[in-house]
Amino acid sequence: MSADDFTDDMDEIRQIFFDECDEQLALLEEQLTSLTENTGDAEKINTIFRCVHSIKGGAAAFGMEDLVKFSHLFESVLDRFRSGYIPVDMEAVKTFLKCKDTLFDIVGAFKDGGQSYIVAPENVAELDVYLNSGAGSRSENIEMEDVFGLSFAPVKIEIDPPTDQKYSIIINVSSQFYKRGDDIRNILATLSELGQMTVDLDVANVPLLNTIQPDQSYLIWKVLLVTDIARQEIEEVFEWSGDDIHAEIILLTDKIIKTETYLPIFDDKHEELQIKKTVDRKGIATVRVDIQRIDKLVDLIGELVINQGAIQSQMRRNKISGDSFLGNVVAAQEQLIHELQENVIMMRAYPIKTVFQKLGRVVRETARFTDKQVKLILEGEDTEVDRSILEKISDPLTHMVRNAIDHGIEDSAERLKVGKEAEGLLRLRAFQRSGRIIVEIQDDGAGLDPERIYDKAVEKKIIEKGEKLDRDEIFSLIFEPGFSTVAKVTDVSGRGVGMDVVKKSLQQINGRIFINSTKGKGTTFSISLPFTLSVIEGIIFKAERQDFVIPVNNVSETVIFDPAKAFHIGDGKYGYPYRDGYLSVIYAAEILGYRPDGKNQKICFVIENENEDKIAFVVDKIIDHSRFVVKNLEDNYRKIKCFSTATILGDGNVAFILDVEFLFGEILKKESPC
Amino acid sequence: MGKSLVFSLGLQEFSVQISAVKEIKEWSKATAFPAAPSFVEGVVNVRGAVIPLVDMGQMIGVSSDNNEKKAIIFLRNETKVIGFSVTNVTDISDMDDTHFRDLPELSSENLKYFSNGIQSLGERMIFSVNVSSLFEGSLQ
Repeated sequence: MSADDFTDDMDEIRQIFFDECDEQLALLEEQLTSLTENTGDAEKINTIFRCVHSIKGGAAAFGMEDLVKFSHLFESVLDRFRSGYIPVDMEAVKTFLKCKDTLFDIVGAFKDGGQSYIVAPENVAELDVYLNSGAGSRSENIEMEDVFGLSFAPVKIEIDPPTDQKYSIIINVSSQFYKRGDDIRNILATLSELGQMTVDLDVANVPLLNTIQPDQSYLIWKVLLVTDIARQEIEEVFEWSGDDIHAEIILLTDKIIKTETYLPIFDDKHEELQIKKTVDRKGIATVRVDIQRIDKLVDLIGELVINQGAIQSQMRRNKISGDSFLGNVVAAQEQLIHELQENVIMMRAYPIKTVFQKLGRVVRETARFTDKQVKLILEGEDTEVDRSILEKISDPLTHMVRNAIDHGIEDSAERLKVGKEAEGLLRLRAFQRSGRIIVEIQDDGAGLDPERIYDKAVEKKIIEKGEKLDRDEIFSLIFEPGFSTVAKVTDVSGRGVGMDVVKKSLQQINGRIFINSTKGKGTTFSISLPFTLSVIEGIIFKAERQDFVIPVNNVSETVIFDPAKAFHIGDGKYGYPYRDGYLSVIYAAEILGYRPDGKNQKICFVIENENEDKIAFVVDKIIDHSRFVVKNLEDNYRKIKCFSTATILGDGNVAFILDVEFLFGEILKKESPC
Repeated sequence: MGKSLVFSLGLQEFSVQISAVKEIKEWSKATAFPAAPSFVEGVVNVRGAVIPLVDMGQMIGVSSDNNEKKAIIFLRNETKVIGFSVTNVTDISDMDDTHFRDLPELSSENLKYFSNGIQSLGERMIFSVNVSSLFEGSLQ
């Protein structure tokens, strides 16, 4: 193996470590948030402890010192909660969440190639408080040596007694111990030098004389040692004898002696039980697959769909009926490919949980910043969304959550004044509706004030004073560039990006956004998203002998185009009657730079954008209505006007997919479309 | 300098380093798109990927008239793949420093941008083309 291979391998292992970190952090967040509602659940604390612990183990193996130090500190504190020294309360949960966020940041820093990360001192101080409070406390001083080199092996951190502590030591020896000529008396003698010692000999395991094996060891020594020395020193006494002697050293505190419910003797079994439970919880077996392999699979099935199209067009050309044997087989095959495609696309789906959990942190931080009390409720976290979409909704959602807390939810005093609970409610909900994913962000804050929005829009010259708008139109003004309802720029949401950016980024993934708000009651933003970006339903049409695809969700109606009804509206543009009004006409041929001759244009799509603006889009001929595999042009080229994506047709040719939003944007700016 | 793929644009010969060559195909018509630079023919489908097709002769601007195009050379640079249509693919040659010469002073700026010198191979004169310049030029 060459040096290069080795670094490659290391990188790969590092990547796996970071992937695992992400999983652990997600689990951590999940456990911590549920801890909020079910305070002091020992099982949960255990899981949390293990998450932090495994991050620490990996970090030590990769020499990420700062990550090791912080997770060690966090873990030590958790251990004190786990052992029952300190009861879990809401304050503690808050601290844990903050620590989780810090861990996330440190992991992120290392993932981005950083070598170090300086943890905010107040974060450390907060942990130190817990470390030094309650029974059996001591000040922690972590040296890297303590944790280095142990790599993934579990590291047990014990608490050193500053004063006399009681240890219960249970000693089991194997027959090998005696065969090597060792003597238990030497060990007991050494122990007796460490402090006050009493020894009990447990003979319960000694069998009857007729069954006794003369070379076996049946005796158990129970030692009670009162000493002020560190646990490590006791352990050292046994180290000489290696595996031949088994000693359980248990620190007895008053509390434990009194209650006797948490004797760590049972800890191992407890741990086992825990692991089993975790496995049960996941239930379904999963396989870790590189996302690129799945993407490749999606691509291949895309090609299969294209081939299928080729077969069908060849059949039509050769006038083979769909009722023939071949026709039936091809139809069955189409169905299979369709199912295959859906299944593979499902493989790329992730529960929206991954995004929601990140928002948990946003909510906490924003609430802290704005000094408001906010309770976050998550619903439908298991709703699955394609990975590509998930990546793109994280930022807009973050912004909207910040907005909801900063502008929507009132502070406690204000809320109490209007008869609401002091704590504001923020509800994030995800669900499926007619093939699309709906994400709702609902707050019970002050709601949008239509009058204020109207005045603001006039002030910002977005609308003319006196312009008549209905409620929904007024609400949608907040999506206009340059609109911001708050006069002062706040740290939280006033970062120069407004709701217009949110809307734009959602549009890029074919998302739509709606507002529902009642003054004084709260606001709900609903985002409607497609399930996937890799397949669209579209209509394929011809213009100037070239094929194009238009997404079906942009077409509100298809009508026969009668050139006689088109009328000139100046600047070479035409109008066309539609229902009880008139629409502007755009000829598909214009996009290609041709002058339409008015003879070939037979069909008119009434196309619609997000704002429900309508245009009559005139094409030569409709060819088919089908599902198309979306290919990104930027993969190998760059953005091009009017078409953000393309697809491959049955004959192997490329057809561009019309970017309707872009088209409207250009038309409304009165620029020639392309 | 290693092996290079030699091809022709009109009557002149050019070469690119062989390591950047992904595939060579017979020329086929691309799907044109509006507002494309004059040297971009459009996009083509290569086993499911949508790849831009660039008329290399036009982009480099060496041969005045419309060259006959018989082949497409697909080159890879980092993550992107671009197809370049050329008149013909000739052969694969070993390039060596001893026969590598600078371009004549008065070469066009465009040619200087895309080519870093001339390889003489006996009677033959081969312009060495820089792959990263080709990509930069194409993506403009």
